[in-house]
Amino acid sequence: MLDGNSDAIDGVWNDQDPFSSAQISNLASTIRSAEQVAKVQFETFVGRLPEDRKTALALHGQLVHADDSVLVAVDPHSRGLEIVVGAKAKQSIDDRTCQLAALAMTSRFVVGDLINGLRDGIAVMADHAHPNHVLHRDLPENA
Amino acid sequence: MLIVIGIPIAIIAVIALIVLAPGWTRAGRYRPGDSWDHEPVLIGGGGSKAVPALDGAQQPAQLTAGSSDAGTGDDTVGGISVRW
Repeated sequence: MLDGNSDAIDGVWNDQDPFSSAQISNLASTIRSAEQVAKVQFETFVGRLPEDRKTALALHGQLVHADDSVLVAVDPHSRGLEIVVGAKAKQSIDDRTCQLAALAMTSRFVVGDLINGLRDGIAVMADHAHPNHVLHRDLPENA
Repeated sequence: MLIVIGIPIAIIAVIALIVLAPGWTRAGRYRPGDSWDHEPVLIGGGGSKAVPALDGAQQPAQLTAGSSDAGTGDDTVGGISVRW
């Protein structure tokens, strides 16, 4: 599912930033791989969610391709995790898959490992996605 | 004297360094229960990006908040809410 050692990607840390550039780069790489497999867009948000799911829904609504997007929003302060799946993305990522991903993520979050929790969760969603395969791409010549 | 005291102290110092050094390099790491005072971060396939502003006018009014491990019940979006 995932490779790499979490300690090896910690990189240089700036106390002002929650994550190192190496961690962000690694997560972005995981997201790109997941997007290719699941055929949906993944976005991760880490910050305060004042109104929990309502805030996450509003953030998801601001995404460029909201219908095709999955937003994983984490509030480390209130220990909340919100997964919002767009209307079209729901065909690939169902709620059961979200629950599996949430389990993978929270098992990391409880020990303070946010970035690898996000990586694991997105990888789980990609593994369990059901991308819509196009079976008939060629139109009849005289159609 | 050097062998009896110096070498054990050197060994203890090396062991302490090995144990404590990883903690020093991860001083900014989130620990459960700590408050979160960092700026919000949005990370996608292209890396981190600007977090969109959310004022009241931009929030979709028809969406309702979920509150538990169950599905949201919303017809337009899926997903779940979890606390850890």
